[in-house]
Amino acid sequence: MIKNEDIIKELEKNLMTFSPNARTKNVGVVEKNSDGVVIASGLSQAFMGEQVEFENGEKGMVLNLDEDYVSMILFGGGERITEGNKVKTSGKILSITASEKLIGRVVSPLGSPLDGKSSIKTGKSMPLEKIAAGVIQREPVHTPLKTGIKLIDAIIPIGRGQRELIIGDRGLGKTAIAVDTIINQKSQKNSKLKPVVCIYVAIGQKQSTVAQVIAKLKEVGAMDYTILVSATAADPAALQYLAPYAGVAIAEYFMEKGEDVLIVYDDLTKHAWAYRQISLVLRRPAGREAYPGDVFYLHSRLLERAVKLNKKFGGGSITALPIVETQANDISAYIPTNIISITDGQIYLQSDLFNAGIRPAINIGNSVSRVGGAAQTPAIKSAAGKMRLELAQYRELAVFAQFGSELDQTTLAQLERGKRMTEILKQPQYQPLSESLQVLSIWAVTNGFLDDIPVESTRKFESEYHTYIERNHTDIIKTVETGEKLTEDIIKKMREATDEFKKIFTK
Amino acid sequence: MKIKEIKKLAEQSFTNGNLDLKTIKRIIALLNKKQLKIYIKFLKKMENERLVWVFTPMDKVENKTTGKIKSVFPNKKIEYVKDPSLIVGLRVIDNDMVYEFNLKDSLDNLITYLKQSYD
Repeated sequence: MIKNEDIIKELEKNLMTFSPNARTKNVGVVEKNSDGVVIASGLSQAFMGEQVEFENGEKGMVLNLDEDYVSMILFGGGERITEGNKVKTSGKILSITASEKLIGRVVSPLGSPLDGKSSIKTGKSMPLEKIAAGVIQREPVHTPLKTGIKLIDAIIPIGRGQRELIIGDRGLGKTAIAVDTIINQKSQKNSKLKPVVCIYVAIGQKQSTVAQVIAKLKEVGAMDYTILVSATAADPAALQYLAPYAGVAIAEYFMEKGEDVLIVYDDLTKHAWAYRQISLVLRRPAGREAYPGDVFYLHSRLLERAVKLNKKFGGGSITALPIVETQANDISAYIPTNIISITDGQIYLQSDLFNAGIRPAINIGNSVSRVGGAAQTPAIKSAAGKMRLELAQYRELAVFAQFGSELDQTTLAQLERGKRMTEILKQPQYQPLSESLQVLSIWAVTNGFLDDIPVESTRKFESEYHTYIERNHTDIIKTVETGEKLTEDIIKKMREATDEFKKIFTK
Repeated sequence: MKIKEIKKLAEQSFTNGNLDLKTIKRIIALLNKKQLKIYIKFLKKMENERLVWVFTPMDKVENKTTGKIKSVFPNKKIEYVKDPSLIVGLRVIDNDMVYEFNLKDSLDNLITYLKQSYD
């Protein structure tokens, strides 16, 4: 509600600041309206990315400037816009109002509420399109962003400010990894690390899928630090195209305040589809797979905005987790290869592993984190150091073992440990683990404590082991939690505690 | 015929700021229906570029004001239209540019600002 005093105050202010300068407006006339794209004559002063308003109140954005015509995409359906309608420029580049009030909310790419709550009108106007921070403002990635997923935190670690792609076929758990990472930020609130503001951008997804994500985040209390930007499959292609830019604009607002932000783009394949649709309607020349020539720039300019700022510029960061859906495990398709080359690594999910019951179905061979290693804590680094190599060796040996040839004792032992390692790395959905428990599990398996435990009891062993250590050896948990390198002293304690537990477990 | 060529023909149809009937007759004989439509569109656009509309809430505009407007748009034809909804001031439309210098626009702006700023 507007207060009467506010109206009077604004009137007075307007009167006091009244200047005899004319306000100029640049107007045009709609010539054509087809498939969410409007072509208008006039608008000689319009610029790229400028917001425009039609006489019926609908809004759009300039996307093409020709000699006689200007092409605009519409944010609404555009059914009421007819030939001859007036359209005027706003003089403003498209922006979104960002503030702390957005936390816990579900908004459209234009900032309008989608959760039935009040609209957010006060805040800082953040441009959707912005040149990413330059090299002077940046610093290397050095702080971990813990996902709570053992396999990722140990082998493919993600740092704050990194861009890590999650890629795989449909239904393999890409969104689950992203959601788990968001959920895990809750437990980080009490750690030494800065709390993370999470932004989940849903692009071209089913409304039911988005509703599920919201429900899950609410259930676990993750909405207290999460913002959802949603442009579902039912929304116009223009909104789907703008959604990730709106998300990153909000992220930049928090980053400018020195905060760490995690942004999930779910998914960029659908984003590319939306942009292809717009481009084809705009009659831009089509290239490979009918995508326009600037489809690489579409994603590179978006992902370049993920950054770790240095202390002089506030020290904030934006970590991006873009998701890409592949068809039949083909990571060499156009959009996947583009995004792989832009990002600082990828988490590759494979259907064979998923069907074999390995979840998360991450293919370690094809997954990599190019900068995350620097952000790993010494504790997990020392525990998981040899794990990657041992797992790779195991996979190679497992292929040979299929032929049923006779194997020596060392090879058999390697195979047995590999099986247990694979079991230990399995993790149920929505159950992120703290770093200390991850270190304990990985340390135990790589040091052979599980070698005499049957493979089928590995998971049971792990969960009971965690409970036992949490109850009886809080000192170990506390020490490992600091992230410092495991000293001889703590390793001795861990060894004793694990032996104690094994005696109880094997009884 | 390409659109650019039709545009050129439309430009050639004007002599000293006025449409030349002789030239137009020669041109239209060369165009088909579709091209003629584009040609007329360009003529309209060019005619519009030569015209300035001045909206005012008063019946008669002061000589001082008309003189000033004439000096701002020296080579253009100026048309005055009465529009009481402006309350006070003027609205000048020059092709696709609209210059708002009236109370109605100020109040409209204020309403938009209040609507956008408060819940």
